[in-house]
Amino acid sequence: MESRRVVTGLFENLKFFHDGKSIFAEMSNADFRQNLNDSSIPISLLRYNYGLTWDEDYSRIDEERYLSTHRMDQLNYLYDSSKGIRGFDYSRLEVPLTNLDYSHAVGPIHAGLIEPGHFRFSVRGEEMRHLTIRLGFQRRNILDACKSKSVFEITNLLSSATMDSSVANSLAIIRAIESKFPSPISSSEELYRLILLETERLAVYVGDLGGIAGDVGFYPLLGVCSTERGFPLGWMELLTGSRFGRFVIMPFQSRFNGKASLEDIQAYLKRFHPWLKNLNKHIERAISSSTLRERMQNVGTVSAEQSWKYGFSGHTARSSLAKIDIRQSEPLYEKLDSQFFQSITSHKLTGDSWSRFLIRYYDIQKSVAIIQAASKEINWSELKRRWKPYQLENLNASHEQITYGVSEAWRGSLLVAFKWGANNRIDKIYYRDPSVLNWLSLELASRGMLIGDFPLLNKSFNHSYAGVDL
Amino acid sequence: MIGFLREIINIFKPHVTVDFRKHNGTSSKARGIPAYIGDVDQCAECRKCKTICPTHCIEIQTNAISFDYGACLQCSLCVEVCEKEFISESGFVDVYSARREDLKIEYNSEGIFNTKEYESPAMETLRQETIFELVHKNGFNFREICAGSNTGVEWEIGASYNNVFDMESIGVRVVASPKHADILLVSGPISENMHHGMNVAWNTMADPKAIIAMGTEAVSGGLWRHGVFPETPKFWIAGDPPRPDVMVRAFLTFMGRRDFDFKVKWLEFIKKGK
Repeated sequence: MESRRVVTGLFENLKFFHDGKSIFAEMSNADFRQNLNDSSIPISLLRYNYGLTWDEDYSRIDEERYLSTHRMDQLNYLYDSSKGIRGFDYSRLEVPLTNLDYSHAVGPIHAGLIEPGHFRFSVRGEEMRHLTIRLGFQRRNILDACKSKSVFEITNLLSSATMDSSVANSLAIIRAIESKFPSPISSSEELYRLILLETERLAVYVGDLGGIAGDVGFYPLLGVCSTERGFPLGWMELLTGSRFGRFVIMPFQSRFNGKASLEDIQAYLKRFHPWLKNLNKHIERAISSSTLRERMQNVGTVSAEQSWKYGFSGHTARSSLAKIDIRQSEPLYEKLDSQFFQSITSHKLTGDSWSRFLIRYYDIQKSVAIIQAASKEINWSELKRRWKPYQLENLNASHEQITYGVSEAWRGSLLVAFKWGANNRIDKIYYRDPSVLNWLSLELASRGMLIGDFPLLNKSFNHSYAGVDL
Repeated sequence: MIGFLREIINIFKPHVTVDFRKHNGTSSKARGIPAYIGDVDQCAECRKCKTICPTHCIEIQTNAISFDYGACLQCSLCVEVCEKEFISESGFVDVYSARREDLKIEYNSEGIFNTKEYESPAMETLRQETIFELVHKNGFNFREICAGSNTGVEWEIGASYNNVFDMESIGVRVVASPKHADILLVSGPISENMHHGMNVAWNTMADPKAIIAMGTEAVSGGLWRHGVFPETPKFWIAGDPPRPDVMVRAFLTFMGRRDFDFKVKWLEFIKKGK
């Protein structure tokens, strides 16, 4: 089990593998057709890399075959030898239906404050037979906008792909830049990056817990979480000047909020413990309620086996006890908290919505602990020096033609790779949001569930639309 | 029983909701929009701020420098690169107006900034609109359209309904169907693939109706190419994303329940700072 690995990115002549602990690259000269037959490459990834758009009509396909998880059956309709492989973008869609079923299209505008996407449900009474998701409505042509821009501009453009993982985005981007221009990074800088990354996770997970609680009708927790999310966001704002940590993490030296004094930071750090204690009280109350547990248990289960097969990561994978988390390869986590990757629960995590609720709760505890541990080690005054735009011309560049950077965003493992051209400019960009692979989990988990479970399912995964539609 | 007692005790606790009447438009730790406090004549040569700005919202002419705060992502990079320290981080976050042009500020050598073409407050025109009567009296329901937004605006709208900012108390509600909405709130630069969806939503809405552009990306496109609105927005709220308290204050202004004019307040703010 531990030696498993799955392809998590394809860029130029490199194949990126995820072995649970880390992402590493291997040379590969396989062409599209060879990749198509390589079962270690999830189809989602092929669709992201090579995907084309055409009108889809699957109404003649046998429903059983449409639901099959066999690679060949899926490729049978997603791959067309004359065109290529079908991407994620919506154009026109017909799905297989039996005469007992009813198909319903939702989107691109969904009910509520949510990004646009096209969800095609097929339901038999209350039961969802299958769900087909098509995206593409968020497309801003980010990669086109990055063409012939400087490294600095690309950092800003690419890190803006998704606001809720701004820190993780910029972290992966700058790691790709820093491996092209190897230069020592101070330990305070490393700690600062870790604190920001965990703060982002903390803020989103607190918000998500509230969202899940809202979708099962437990409004007290929704109220508490939507308020308490302000605490980590306030911490982020104190450190960076932006509630989402925008344009903060930069190569070699990150920016720091000039308005934050040492006293402010110490005072805020002291508030972490009472804040968490109060929040836990409310979450524990929700967890101890058997009606909530039963509402969420066995709803939308994603197995560890599926996570490995399709390359899921983040809470989607970890809630099924698949140890897919690239923070494991960052020595700083173990150093600060030797128990960080140990399970802290007696609950059995099975990959259902309940497990995804619980894993967020445990992650909140761990994030707070590691933020506090890192804050003890960090030298704040070292960070407070004035930020200077970096000059790449003065740095020694490595000979690598392609460099890459990874980070464990709250959604999962994020991969960014650059192909460098003449004068140390970026020629080509590869940006792979964890949601590229994770979206499939929602389609799979919906099958056989009740239609009323769908909002809960969607919220418990919380995949990104903007990260896939670049 | 314990729960009931807790409710009773709650009545006597101090409230956590922000009092929007007592707010001056700044946020103590936020970067806010950059304030130009220098001498324009010394800025003709150096173009560091203009070059580093991710959205290129700074324009330098002879004897004048202009900042388009409707395109400003409030990243403060211009502040960091200005060696003369002519640009400062203001913490001023209330960047919204009924007129798009008002968000563009020109600083010249004569004064702190140019007020010569500033004839009437933007709210005067808005007051003539039929939608104003409705929102002024009753508040409004809005349907949010995410058209290429990177979810920042969505997160912050969600936050504006918590008990700190309490948007519903001013009579502004989110509705799921455009048929129930008075206002179409657009976030994001309006991606091409959302044009159709947005137009359908707009055409479904009953009169009187209006569009509000929420967030810098909706106001100017931000880092991306700006799409086309079905109709010119009646109110523009900048910020990347606007903070929840900014949203509430902006809506109060839009409803005519609060006296605020960006150009006037910004001028006052800069004068006080100097």
